[in-house]
Amino acid sequence: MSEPTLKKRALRLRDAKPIVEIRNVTKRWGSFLAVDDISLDIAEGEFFAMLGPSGCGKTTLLRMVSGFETPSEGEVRIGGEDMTWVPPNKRPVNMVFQSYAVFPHMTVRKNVAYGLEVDRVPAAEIKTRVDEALALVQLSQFADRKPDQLSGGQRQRVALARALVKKPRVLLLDEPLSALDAKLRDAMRLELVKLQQQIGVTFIMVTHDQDEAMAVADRIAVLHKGRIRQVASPETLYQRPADAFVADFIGRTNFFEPKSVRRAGAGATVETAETAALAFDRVPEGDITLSLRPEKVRIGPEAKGDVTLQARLGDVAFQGENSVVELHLPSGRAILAFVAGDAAATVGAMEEGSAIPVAWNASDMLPLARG
Amino acid sequence: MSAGPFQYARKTSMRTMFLLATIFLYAPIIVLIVFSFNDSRRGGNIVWRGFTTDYYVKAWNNASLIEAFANSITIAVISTIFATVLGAMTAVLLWRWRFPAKPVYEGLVALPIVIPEICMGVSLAVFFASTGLSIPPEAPWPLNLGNIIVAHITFSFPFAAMVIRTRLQSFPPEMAEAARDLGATEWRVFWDILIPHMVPGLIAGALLAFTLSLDDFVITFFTSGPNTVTFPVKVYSMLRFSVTPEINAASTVLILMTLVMTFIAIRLQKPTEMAQ
Repeated sequence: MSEPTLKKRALRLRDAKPIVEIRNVTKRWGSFLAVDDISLDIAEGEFFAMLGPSGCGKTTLLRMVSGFETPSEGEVRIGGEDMTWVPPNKRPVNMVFQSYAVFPHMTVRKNVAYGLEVDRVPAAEIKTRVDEALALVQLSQFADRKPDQLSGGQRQRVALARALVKKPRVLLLDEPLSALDAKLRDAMRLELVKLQQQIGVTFIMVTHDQDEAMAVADRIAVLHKGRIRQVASPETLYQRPADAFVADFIGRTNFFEPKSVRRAGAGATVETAETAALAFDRVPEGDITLSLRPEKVRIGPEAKGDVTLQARLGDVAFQGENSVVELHLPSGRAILAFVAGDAAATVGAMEEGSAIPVAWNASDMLPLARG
Repeated sequence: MSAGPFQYARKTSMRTMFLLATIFLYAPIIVLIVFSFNDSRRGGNIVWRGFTTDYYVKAWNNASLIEAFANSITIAVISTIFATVLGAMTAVLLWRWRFPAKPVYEGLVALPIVIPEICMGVSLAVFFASTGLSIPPEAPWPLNLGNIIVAHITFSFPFAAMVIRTRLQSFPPEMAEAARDLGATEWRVFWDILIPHMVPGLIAGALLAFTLSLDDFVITFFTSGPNTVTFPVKVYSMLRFSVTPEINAASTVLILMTLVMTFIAIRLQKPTEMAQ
């Protein structure tokens, strides 16, 4: 997908009316707050991801959309209708389970047909729709196999076809790729995106893997301890994280602890152990920290920027297209830097502990509220 | 091989123990089977007088023995059907729902397994005699077996329930959720998803109930009448009059039947463990 079509898609999605509306939803298990007053709109045709560490409430939220859990408070609307108390078998949504939950005693065809059979769809229509669904996930030649004769990836496709054959308004995916091995996972990511664009159904995916969410989603909700930290496009999450938790969870980052913060209006002058006083236009309320992405750190003799330091080289991890370099700053703090190309070769040739100039721009440091 | 988990199997003392245990366990059965082919008039005769299959023919031609055998099979088939259905329902109830005093109920269901058979036999005999709920012995066959069938269901369904519940433990809850998600009602989930998963447990439970019923003596003895003699009861009565190799032959057939069924039950349980 080229840049302009991406923009167009983002604009179209912004204008689309919401298909799923989560209104002030809270879920309690005894005294434990699994989901804490979350409101969220998911647009029609959107690929939406809910991202967070385990126990953040993302799966509970998904299960409230599917109907397997009911909120303690709040409302879940699907397609403009209140579905809060509607049982899962009467909701216009379908789910792909983490374990796939493919029925072991049925063939692939029977698995896919099951949802239509319980709806009493005429046999002839079932056949054409099942054939279509199997073709969509490229499983036509496996139609008569039993699940135990399929690989993990194929079983996942059965689960996908089984859910999609019902023509749901929303497809829910609970950690759909976590049970696959790394290579297959990357391939399936691309396939999921293609599939979603092809059929135009809203996808809501739950994952703890930030790479996965970034690779597939139009928008991502980052959850932590039952609350939403930020809802934004992958680019925005990475470049303008709402707080230190999001910055830390999405990609890698270096944090600098302020020694002093002198506020002036919305901005402030912040001084850290490593940097002299730097002025920022916008600084959030309360306790803050400064975040600097590793790729913004320039190293080597030609490195230039608002902040320049002499560092000592630590570990260098070669990772193909770039290298991850550990740098020990004079203050004793270690930071990470990504270097590519010639700089990577230079660094690779240097010995551990040798002195190396390091620089970055003050504008690349983001003052963030501590999570 | 150096140190391994079964290294003690190489020790002579352990081997002797194993050998002795095997002899004590199986020598009587092997003797029983061997002497069912002994060409001797008396079954108690331990002198080998040559090979014959006459006593199998004799047993086959013994009308009252065959009648007892038919009774036993009829009782076993009918009580197995009821015990399996009842056991399955109990297993699903205990597995699926939480209700007040559930541990008490669980204990009550398991109790017939530990209650001495003699007590159950007496209690059932007293129950049938005192409540008048008993079916008269002159009722037409197979209705006259009713008392025994009820007694057999009573003691065998807890065993079936145990086996089926073990199978249910391995049911992945997402399977039911997936079916619900695809539009199935709770009732359809039960029939389309849960029952097929239970099948190996149902078969194993049924086979267990069948073998338990087939060879039960004590409880049957207390609940049977003169017209409702079962195979084990008949063998016992034959033993009191005359000991002939006919009994050996009949018992060998019973051993074989039980063995085959136990083997099938084990085979049906195994693949499910591997699937986990």
